[in-house]
Amino acid sequence: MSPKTRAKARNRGISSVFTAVVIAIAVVAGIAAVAISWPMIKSGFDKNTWSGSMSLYKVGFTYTESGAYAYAQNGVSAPLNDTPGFVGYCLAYQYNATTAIYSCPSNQPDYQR
Amino acid sequence: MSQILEELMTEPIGFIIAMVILIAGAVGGLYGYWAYANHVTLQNYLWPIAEVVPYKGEYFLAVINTGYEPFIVKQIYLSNGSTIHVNTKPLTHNQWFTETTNQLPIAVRVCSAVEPSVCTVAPVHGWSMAEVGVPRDAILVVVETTIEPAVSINGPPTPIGNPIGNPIGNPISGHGRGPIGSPIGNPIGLPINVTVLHEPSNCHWSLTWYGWAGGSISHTGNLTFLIQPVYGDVHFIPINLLGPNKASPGSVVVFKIFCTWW
Repeated sequence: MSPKTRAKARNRGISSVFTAVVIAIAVVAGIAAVAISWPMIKSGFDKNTWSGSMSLYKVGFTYTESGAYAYAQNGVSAPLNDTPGFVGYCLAYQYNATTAIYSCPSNQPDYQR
Repeated sequence: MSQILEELMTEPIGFIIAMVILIAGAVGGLYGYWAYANHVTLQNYLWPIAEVVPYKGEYFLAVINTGYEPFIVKQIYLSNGSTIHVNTKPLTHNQWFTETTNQLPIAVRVCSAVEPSVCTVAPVHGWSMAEVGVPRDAILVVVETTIEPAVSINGPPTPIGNPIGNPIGNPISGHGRGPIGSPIGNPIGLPINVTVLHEPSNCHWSLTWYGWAGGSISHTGNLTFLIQPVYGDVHFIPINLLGPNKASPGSVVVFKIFCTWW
């Protein structure tokens, strides 16, 4: 084998190693990118689920023997006072004998009021 | 150019340089993406809820952390374009922050307590009014002293400086010291606003009811109470009260205090 032929063979070897390394780096980078992306993707799904549950969060009002009560979801309830108080994730108070004013996560933002 | 590239890819020194550049690029890119992903992930887990209700001529604002990522309330944006800087202590799961403002709050800015550069803006939810429901087997009785709305009385056209109804030029005598110099008069054509307290709130009243179940109550002043249980109409015998003489289950009846003073 002539020196020229040997050099060509060596160059082809280095090119093959280079290609192999580039592919390896690409594969490792791809796997790393997926691993990094997954928590971000999951957090997006979690946020959507949370937004959905909040958009349904409501409060109801009734009278009991001990006075007016507000009841929210998951069995949360509290007596209505004449100062704003918390009922679950809602804010409510008794405005007069028969009316309550409240704000819940399901209320749409309304800047006109 | 292709010869230089060929040199780089085939000679050992060029190979090493190319590898270093490639690895540094890959690591740098991954690090940048990791930092971005962390930022977005943390931001996605900031779950503030902001509520507002009108209260005594002002606005009562409350911000709650419904998530598990602690955050700090940094700013409150008001409807007139101004901003209130607050910087609260970190709010953890289900903790509230409240504030009273004289302008309507429209949004709040909260930042992660772990990484203060990660922030999100939450809109403030508007409020609603609801009738407090009466159970189907009950009647809500509201006894109240009412204050009538302001009444405008157009007084007789008397000149300023004279009391209402006083003929012009006739001085009014005070107690022992001659005519009153400047009695209060009603300017011509201007209405007088009068607020009328319907009846005194210290009046003693009583209410008796009968129907499926009977009972009675005596009290002084305002009172709201529940008659329960009731099935079918209930009839009332009010004393010193003005209101209906019967009511159905699940309804609200309002009595006005009405005392006759002798």
